[in-house]
Amino acid sequence: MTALPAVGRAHDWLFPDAVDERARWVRLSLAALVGLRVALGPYRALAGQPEGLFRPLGIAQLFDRMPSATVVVALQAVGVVAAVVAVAARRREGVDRAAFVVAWVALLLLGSLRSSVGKILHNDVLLLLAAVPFLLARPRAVWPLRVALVTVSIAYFFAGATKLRSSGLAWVTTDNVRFLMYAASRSGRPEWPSIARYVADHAWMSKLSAFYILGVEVAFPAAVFWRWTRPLFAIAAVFLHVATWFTLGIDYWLWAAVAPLVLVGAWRLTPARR
Amino acid sequence: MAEAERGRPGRAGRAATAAFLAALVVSGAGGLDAWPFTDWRLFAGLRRATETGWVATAADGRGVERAVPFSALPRHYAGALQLMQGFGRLDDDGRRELCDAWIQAVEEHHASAVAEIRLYRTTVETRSGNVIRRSLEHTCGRS
Repeated sequence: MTALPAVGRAHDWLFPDAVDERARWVRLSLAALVGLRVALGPYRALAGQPEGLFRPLGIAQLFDRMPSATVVVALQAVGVVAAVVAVAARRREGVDRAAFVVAWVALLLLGSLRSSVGKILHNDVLLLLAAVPFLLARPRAVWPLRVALVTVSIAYFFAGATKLRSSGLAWVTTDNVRFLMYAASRSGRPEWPSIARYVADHAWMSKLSAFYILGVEVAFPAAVFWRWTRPLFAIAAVFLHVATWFTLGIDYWLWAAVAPLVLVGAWRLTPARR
Repeated sequence: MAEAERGRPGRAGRAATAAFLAALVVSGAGGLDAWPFTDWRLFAGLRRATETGWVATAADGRGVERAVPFSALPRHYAGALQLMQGFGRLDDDGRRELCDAWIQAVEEHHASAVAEIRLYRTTVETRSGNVIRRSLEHTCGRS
């Protein structure tokens, strides 16, 4: 019984009768990011995969093997053209929405193919999910921006919660990140492995990194409830992903773009408490 | 007012959005695995002073082994570690397909014949990367 007013308040906050020019700009930026990712993502390298290596995930299960280079390039071409139309036709409602959906589906297909090599990848996931509420909404509607804010918060929160579920507080209190850094420094991935090695050689720095990562992730839903925290989480997320690239050599630039875009876009919107 | 009313989605849109957010929460809690809905498992496991892992070697006709250079192979070999972990659960056809793909990749990379692939379970000292222990778990040849 007591939960019902809260559900009503959440509903009213998520779906306001409101429009805002910022929502349009976030939507256009997400469409541009989808186009950039489709064009520049490492999808062409997937073509030519031997059949025995194909482990389809999600929508990639529509394929019985990795598609040829021709199909991958065709998907990229369709996705890029659609993203350009979604951005360029921003004053022609209907055309831009349809184009955004086409570009998004192209990225969904390419991203799922990239995750079909045996290892689940998250590089494309945040952009794909944050863009979902914008696909069918009117260009200046505020509600997709709020849903995207909740989506991004859920993503970061569960990235932290899954660490706690798997490893408990030992993820922070033990030498876990220190060993992660040692392994990364030998992996051949980071451009400058000495950075990961330096962090690993200083136990306090590893522990501080672990505390920072888990703290930012688990606290992320605060951005939904307190407006003033949104730019802080935007900066924290960018720092997290830039540091990840320097230490682990893992490319999360898409997350580093999507999180601040949504958080800064939603900065001036009313927080969820009202 | 008319402008503002255009901002709110219809009943179906609100129901779809609620279902979308529910799917995100359920997948995050580990109850649904349908990419791009995932449980956001990003470096969630605990790293220790020694780690168990897998190494693949390619042996020639005389039994001389060299490591399969997965990191130097094309991107579609990137899931090699996960495939090695699951090798024991594959049926004969699955093992044969996987093995043929690895043999072909090594032969093309090294330009020399491979007689069989050997999969070792290893224990590695995390700090130095030294292999402390390794045990042969699977071998497979070209079909």
